[in-house]
Amino acid sequence: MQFKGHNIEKIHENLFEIPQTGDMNQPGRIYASEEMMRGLIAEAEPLQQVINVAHLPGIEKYSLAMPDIHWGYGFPIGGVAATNWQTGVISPGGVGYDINCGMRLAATALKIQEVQQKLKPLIDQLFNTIPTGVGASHAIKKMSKTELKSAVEKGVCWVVEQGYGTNDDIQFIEENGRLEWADAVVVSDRAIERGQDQMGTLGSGNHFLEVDVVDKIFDEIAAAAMGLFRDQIVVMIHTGSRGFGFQICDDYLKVMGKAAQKYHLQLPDRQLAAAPIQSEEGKNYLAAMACAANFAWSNRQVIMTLAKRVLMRVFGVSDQELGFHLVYDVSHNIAKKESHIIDGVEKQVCVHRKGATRAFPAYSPLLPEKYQAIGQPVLIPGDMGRYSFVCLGSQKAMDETFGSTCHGAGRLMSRHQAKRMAEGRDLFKELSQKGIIIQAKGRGTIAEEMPDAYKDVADVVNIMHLSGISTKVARLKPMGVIKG
Amino acid sequence: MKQYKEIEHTADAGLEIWGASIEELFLHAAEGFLRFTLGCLPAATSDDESITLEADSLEDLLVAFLNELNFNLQARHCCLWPIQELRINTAATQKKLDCRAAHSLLSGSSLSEMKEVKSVTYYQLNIEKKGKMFRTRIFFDL
Repeated sequence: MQFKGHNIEKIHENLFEIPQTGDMNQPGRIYASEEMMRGLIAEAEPLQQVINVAHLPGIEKYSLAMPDIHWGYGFPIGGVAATNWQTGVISPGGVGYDINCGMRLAATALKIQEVQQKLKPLIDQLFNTIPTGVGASHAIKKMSKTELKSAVEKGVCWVVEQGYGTNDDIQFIEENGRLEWADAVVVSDRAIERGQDQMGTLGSGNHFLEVDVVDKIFDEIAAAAMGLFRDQIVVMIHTGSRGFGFQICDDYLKVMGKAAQKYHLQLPDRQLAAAPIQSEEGKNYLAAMACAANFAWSNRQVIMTLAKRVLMRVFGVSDQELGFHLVYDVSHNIAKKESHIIDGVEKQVCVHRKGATRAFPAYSPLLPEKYQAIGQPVLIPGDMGRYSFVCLGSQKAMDETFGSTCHGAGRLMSRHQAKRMAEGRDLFKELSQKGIIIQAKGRGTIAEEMPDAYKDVADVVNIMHLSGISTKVARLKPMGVIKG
Repeated sequence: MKQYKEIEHTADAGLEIWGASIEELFLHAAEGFLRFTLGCLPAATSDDESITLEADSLEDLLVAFLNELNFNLQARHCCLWPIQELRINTAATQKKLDCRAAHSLLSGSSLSEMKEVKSVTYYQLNIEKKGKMFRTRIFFDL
């Protein structure tokens, strides 16, 4: 296969390499089937972005792409790149606007048979309790500037101290729900203003809260360790740092644009704007990004707690009877300092994951005791009509992808196309016939986000499973969905 | 007469915009962006507000201008429209925009139906003159 003069080499059935040529500092590697690769070659832009990322100063080993790759701003969505912590750069394009957009999975002791009769009131109450859509706010009282600054520096502990969840939750959140280098001093007043009344809000677009049922178990041992079983009712949350994070990214893209000139960085795309990690600009972005990451973990913690209270109310059960517990919370838009073995040497790197999820193996010191023997849970959402997956990280991920895997399905068609396809159809009825109840704020949301608009996430998950990067543990099917 | 059109994009959204002058281009971009985000434009209810922005290039200035409108929508639920007296100074090294805009606060269905635009991006952004018209494409991260 060829792409713009580059010979593409097949490493194995689901892995292709664009060799290092010209000004690329490393090769590009794409996890995809052969059919997907042919599609990517025709589409061109995503592969060009993989090549562009390979130009980043200090990039180690590869510019990587997961099988849910599609084009983004600077980095492709599904892109992973690790840059040398001492000599490399950090790029906000490698994180995205929605800093620490991510997934959270909580499990209950409830089974599908117990929930079906009360599914409609459950979804209605979740929809009425958790703010969704634009302009929604006040799940918790509007935070003062001082409170917000304290919250985004302290991470999830702050909302736990306000009564949202318990200390037991913290170990089941990536980084224990806090990047410790967060410093609100480098966050703009505008970002603070955008964040003050958005803690505990879902947002809109492809963000959601789902009530799912575990309908298939692939790995009994791992599922048991996570407290998952067949026919179990679970809650899945997809959201991020809201306007607070969007504004921080916007603010620092301007800073990095000037920094790239200041440090004479030769970058093929201005949206890869970057600064040396050890520069003032680099350190400030890391500190601000960390604030946004902490906001997002806190946001998901509040939403999860609100959902738990609704479940207790609707089913008339106590906390103990509900058996609600956090399985795990993962980020899929973030950049972090991590240690990785590169050519036999342990190095500190800044791992950018943009539309990619951390997938650490068993015995990683960053995992809680409960998961030491199995590895890190990885949460991969699909569309609202089909399924999502719980997977497991692996040593192969550490060896090949800086401990990273895919993050979701990716869209198949534009919002306009989806709306045209939805004309004359009763999507609520179609989903209801599949046993799925949906509540959404915006009239256009259901059409734009309908299942047909998305690729089949099973295709993406299977490639990473067959590659040994992240292996399947369980499949979850939606029963109820709330969206903005 | 509408002097912009929406561009199909798989995950996000974009506009192709044109105008007989740079000021017209910016005005049409603002209208296109606000209509994309809100659907219908509300009637102005309050006095004019001043906006002053500077940037290194016209492209940067356009992104800053639309992001200013977006910030007011998303954070303050305020629509800055119609825009009056828009002036762009391209002579200096730093490009400068000055304008006055009426504003209205959004509520109810205007707010709930508003699209959440994370930011205006620099993707494929290049303002150029083709024939008698200034043209550009601009994309929004949704």
